[in-house]
Amino acid sequence: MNHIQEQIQNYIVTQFAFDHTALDPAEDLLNQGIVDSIGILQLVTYIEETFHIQINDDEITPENFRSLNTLTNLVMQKVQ
Amino acid sequence: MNIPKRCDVVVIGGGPAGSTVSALLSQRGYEVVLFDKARHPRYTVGESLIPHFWKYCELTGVDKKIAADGFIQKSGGTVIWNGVIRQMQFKDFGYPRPALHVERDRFDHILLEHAREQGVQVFQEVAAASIDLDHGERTSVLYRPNGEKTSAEIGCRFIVDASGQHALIARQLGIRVIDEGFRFMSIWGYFNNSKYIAADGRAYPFAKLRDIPPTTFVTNVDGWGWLWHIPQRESTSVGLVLPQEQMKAIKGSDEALEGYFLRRCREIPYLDRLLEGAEYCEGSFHVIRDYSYRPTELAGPGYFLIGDAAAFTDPIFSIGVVLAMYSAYLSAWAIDRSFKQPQRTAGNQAIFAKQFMTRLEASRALALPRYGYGGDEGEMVKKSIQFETSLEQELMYVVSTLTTRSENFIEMCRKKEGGMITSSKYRKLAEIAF
Repeated sequence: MNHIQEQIQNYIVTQFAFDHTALDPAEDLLNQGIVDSIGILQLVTYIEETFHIQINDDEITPENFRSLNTLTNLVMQKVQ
Repeated sequence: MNIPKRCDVVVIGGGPAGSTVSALLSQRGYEVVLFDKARHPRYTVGESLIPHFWKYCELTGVDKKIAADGFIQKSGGTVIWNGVIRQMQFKDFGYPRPALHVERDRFDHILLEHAREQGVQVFQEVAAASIDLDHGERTSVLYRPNGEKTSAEIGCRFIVDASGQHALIARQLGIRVIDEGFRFMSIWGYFNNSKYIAADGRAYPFAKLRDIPPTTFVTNVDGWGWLWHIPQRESTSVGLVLPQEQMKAIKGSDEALEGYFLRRCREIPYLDRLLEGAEYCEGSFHVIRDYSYRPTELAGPGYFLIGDAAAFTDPIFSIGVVLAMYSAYLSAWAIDRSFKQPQRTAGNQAIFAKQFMTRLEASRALALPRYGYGGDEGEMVKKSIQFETSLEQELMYVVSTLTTRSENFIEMCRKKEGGMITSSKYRKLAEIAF
């Protein structure tokens, strides 16, 4: 697990997934109800502020926000 | 009345959308002025709430006050569509808190008073007359206290239109589009001592309401029309929603409509038996000659449209208040970010508009018959469904099977990758036991 993924995981665990200590990077955050419609916007703000990137309206999709893996990919594309 | 000349955000309307957005922004330290043309408590309709509304109330902190008020808790829905009886219960979908039947004058008043306690400057009996967006940073709202002849102006960074079906901004800007294919009207009133249907498929006397929770009862009327039956603490709300073309036969006056309403209430199957021995509350008749609409833009320079001021869809699945609160949350998020990073305001508004529109399209697909889809709308509905939890997807599926209204939605589910969402969390009954 790289540094970006670790930071996002820590945020999700502390903010949303109180009953987890770690997340499977492929775990479906949306279907499992870990991140809901409110949580998605909190995640957008967190990711933007933490990694100094901008997320556009057409990037807030189920594909990008599905799991730790997809979120990490989204961030890594932007920080490079 | 000491209305300031300037503030951060003006919110037009003190219903659930306006109270929620203003409370959230005030809690984040913004100066918020809220106008309502009425004085609360004031009557309004829309009395059935699905459990989703709780999470927004938890965010503002008003949830404890709502819980303490003792509104009627409902267990689920009973839908009789073309003679087929189906029931669903919210407890099967993992919601920790109950669905409610609320007197909206009371419910809305609790939310508005809570907003005031959070620091919102609430001005009642003050009507927002128009808005001015033309000055860039000098966005302003023209308002007039009831009974006064002269208007005054308040400047702000953002205006949130939560004016309900008045849809002040959308009408002023000419961006409101009416669904010509689905114009309907509502006629409704209240009955004392109506029986009600519980989750066990039995009808119970009104006096049992606190011991045995009711379901919301919905049945179709003459094809595309439908009726609601919503027991509350003192009386039961009963309403008919019918296509306008069908109503042309009943000539105009409210007296004639009231007579028609009462006659239909006593002859529609199942409702007739629930109302045996019930007394109509004289003077409780209401009419809305309205229809389904949405705007071409949900936000623009200096403004946001939320709740019914943005869009209104046939209320058959009780999602109006939840959509109002969701859009209130979204707009508060976008406004907060835009104050912190003004250069990103347009991007934040685009996120607000896209997320809100996605939900609106999903609710339209569930509720509106004969709804012509373009490709984009279908994609939006699919995305909306994929954002939801598995249990929520199951709930949407169950809701879509209860009536013949949701053909568009079912079509969307069918096209979804990985196959159709399904659920067996509803049951068919042979009969309601009276």
